[in-house]
Amino acid sequence: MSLQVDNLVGGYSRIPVLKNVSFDVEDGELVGLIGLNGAGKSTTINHVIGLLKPFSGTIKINGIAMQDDIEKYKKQIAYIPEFPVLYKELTLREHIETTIKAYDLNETSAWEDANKMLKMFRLENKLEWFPVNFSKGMRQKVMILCAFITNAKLFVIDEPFLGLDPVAVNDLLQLIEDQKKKGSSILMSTHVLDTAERFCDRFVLIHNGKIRTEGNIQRLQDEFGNKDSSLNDIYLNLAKEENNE
Amino acid sequence: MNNLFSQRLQSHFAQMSKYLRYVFNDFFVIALMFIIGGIGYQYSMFIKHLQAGQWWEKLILMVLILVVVQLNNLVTFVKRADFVFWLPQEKAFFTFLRSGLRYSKTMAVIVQIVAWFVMIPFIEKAMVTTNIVVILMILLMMFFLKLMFLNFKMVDNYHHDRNILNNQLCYRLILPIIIIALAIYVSVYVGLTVSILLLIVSHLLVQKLKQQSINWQTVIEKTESHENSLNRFFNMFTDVENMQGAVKRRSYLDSLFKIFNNDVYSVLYSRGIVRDKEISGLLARVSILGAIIIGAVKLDWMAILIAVLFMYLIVFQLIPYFNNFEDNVFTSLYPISIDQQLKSFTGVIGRIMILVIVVLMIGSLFMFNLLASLMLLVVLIIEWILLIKIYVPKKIKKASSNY
Repeated sequence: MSLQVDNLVGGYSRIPVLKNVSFDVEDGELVGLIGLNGAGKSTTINHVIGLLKPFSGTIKINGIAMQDDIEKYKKQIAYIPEFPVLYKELTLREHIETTIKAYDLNETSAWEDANKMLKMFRLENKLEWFPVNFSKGMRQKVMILCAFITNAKLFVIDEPFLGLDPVAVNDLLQLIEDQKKKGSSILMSTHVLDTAERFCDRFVLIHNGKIRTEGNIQRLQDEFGNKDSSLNDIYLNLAKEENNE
Repeated sequence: MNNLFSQRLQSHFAQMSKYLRYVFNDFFVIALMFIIGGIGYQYSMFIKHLQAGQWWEKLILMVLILVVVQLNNLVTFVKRADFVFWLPQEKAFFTFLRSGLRYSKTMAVIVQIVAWFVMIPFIEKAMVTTNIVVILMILLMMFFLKLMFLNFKMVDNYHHDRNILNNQLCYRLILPIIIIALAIYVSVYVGLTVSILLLIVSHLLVQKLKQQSINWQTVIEKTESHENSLNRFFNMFTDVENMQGAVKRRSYLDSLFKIFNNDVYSVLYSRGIVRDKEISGLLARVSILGAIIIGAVKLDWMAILIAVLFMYLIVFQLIPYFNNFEDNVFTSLYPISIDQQLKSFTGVIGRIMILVIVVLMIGSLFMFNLLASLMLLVVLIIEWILLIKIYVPKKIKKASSNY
């Protein structure tokens, strides 16, 4: 079991946003975290990556909680934030070198991976450039690249598709697929539902800070009543539910 | 990690030296010399005529020390991206943050020494002593209080269990008040001992942090707001990249806009200056302070000098605002020439400076010297013409021809 979240209560101030959230991500599994704006997706992710401290409940990665050993816990994570955050004074090459240092990666093999991805993302001639000045999509590619050269056990990806061109979306999905094969787990929040429906192994539907339901697409279809409904229909149903509350 | 810290420190110094060159320009240095000289003279006169051992002097001393130990904050040089890129190295990042703590402590100690040195004559009067040991003990107490502060600030940068001690109100205000009061009213050694004990406690808390997780949100927020306030200061003297002032609506000032012209840039500049929190606050503070000083200073030539200086300083600080809307793509699309823009700008700040003159003149009424007030008015009008009609256009044209 890669990521195990149990009865998580948490939020930014004293008022809890998340109320008893429990779910898990198995080894080699891609789990989509789905929910409306403000449902608690990012808050959940911020707890998993240790940006926020839970009020109660536990989060474990491969059996290690943050309280046990922060370093061991965090070494297992690679994180791609929703909005790229980069150093304005570092070149693309220096960003990659920083990642290699931070994750204690083997330099040769990490650069091998990096070069492959640089080529894939058509960034190979921009190594000496400042990524801060790149377009949103290209900055996002830098974040993806830096995350995927690590050997993290858990990839936490927040809304990765926005700003990426269709080719890059495809490439990202391929990278995720490769990591899954290696046994890593991926927790991904997204609103791009048709893509999520095709590629996620399982979904966690979060609503008003609670887990509304979880499972694969058949399970969700059963729950929301229609065998043919797409994830998009299910999602809209959820929205309607909220309006009626 | 030490490497990373020294890199950050270096780039910080590089940036500081770049901007400080603009801060200490000739005019500002002259103004500063006048201000320091004037304050120094007043201070020495004040000390000379001060009777030692009056009851209120100890109270004032307490407040002074309390204020001085608040100076200098914890700097970390953390960057937003650190959270993502150094995610797996959180333990090692303790070293980075501790380097920041040490750097802050060094800076703070220097500031404490300077402030203490200036305060020595007053300490002697208030404590009715010339015993150098006692005075030195007060310095030591200030050190320990300051170091304790910074330690607790460091603790605040981590996810930690809250207790009474590491509550801001407690370690910034209540504890120092108790300790300073003990030192001043009971014995300087008692105050010193308590401060040492608290310093040790805070130090132990810092040591424990190695096992705790960093509260990145707080660290990043604090660091960025620290950087912003530095940049805002530098922005008064030169253009700082990515400066974005906070804006306040201030609907009660809407009627003020009637005095400004209605062309594009007059509207932008007048709305901007009035609604920009930083600039309007500065304008109000400096002009009211100027008015109070003018009213309080009984020498008429001194009042005129101060008024002239304040006028100059205010106009000088408004000049960079000319480029405030440069980032906005629309301003480069508007079919408006730079001369027209300049005309609108001088129009707006000219009118604002008339308001400032009015405020300063109200202060001058309290000199109860009609002739001096009239003289002041004439001098300020001449200065207004020189600044708005000649100095500002020249300076902006010179700056824009550099591009």
